[in-house]
Amino acid sequence: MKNEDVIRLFDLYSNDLYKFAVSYLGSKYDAEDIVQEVFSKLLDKHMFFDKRNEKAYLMTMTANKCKDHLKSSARDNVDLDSEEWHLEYYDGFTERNKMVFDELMRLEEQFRVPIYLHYYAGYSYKEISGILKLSESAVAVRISRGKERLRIRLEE
Amino acid sequence: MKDTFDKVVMDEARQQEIRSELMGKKSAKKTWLAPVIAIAAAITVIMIVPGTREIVVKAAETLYSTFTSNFNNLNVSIEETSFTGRDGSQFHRVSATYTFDNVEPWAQVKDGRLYFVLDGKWEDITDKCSASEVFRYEKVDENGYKITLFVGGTPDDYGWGQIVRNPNGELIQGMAVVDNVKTEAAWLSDLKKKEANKEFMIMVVSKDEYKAVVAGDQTVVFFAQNVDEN
Repeated sequence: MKNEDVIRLFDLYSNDLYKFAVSYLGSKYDAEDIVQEVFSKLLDKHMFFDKRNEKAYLMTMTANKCKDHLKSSARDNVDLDSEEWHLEYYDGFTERNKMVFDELMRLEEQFRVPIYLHYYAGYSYKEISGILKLSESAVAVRISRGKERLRIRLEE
Repeated sequence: MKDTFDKVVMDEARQQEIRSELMGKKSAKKTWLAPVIAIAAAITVIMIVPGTREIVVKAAETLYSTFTSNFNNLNVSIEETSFTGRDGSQFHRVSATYTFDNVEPWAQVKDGRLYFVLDGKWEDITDKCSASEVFRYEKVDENGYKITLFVGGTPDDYGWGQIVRNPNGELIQGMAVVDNVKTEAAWLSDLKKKEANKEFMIMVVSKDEYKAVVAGDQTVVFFAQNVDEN
């Protein structure tokens, strides 16, 4: 893929991939690195793919990078007690934003990521199954369970 | 949740930094000489790709553009690596990696009849191939690459695959998917005699292996490896 093609994709999707990576990893800095790695890989590996599926493919690449990152750092949720966490995110947040964000990020990754993709990014269960390489039924179960856990926590 | 994540935005300075790096990033140019064979790790797959990187990339692009209508979720990546052999020789390697999702073979059996399926059109080819003959669909793309999709056998025992030749007529990719890779059908033996030679081979995989690949759990990797004599 040529530089200008990669730049076009970067301008179109970098923020979407960034938000997705944040929902996956919880760390602003890690998410930035993941976005950089995804687009660098497009150049390094001369990748090209169907324009109709380009965003879904980039989301899958981002998911794979995030999974690798979580494996290497052996964690699946975020340390919300760290000072770094608060400094990273709360700028511009209302109290409600903070509460929703914190409780979402406290969910285990298996629930957090599908919930983000469905309720924020607007993907269908089928599309999420493609991005995360899960069956549609597994996506449905995770969203249902995660949503219930989130509801209980927000009500507490 | 929407309102919350709307406020999670990438730092603008970092975004510009990444963008600038992407704009300035270049791939190193390499010289490619003679082709050799390598075998993919996960399944028994062999592909020979002619010597220049340009041809490798062109072949991958051709496959991609030709079969996009059939392989709706085909993605291709080309990777170049360099390494030093035990004797100090410098090697370069190009690998073309194809990942598929939801790929339907172009041979399908329905109600005891064998069909060739392309772009959603079903053609009954039961009487156009047999245990010793293949049905062929040929197309020459805009770059001069000749792509042959074939189906051989009967509704009870059939196989299918593809052959790609470059504008010089050289076989650059061949694949056959069959029920049993150990007992070679007459149609496949005949196809190999006609199409392949000692330098260019047609890879043969089982339908189970193919399913495993297209399920997304594995990636088929084709290698071209060349000795740099510089």
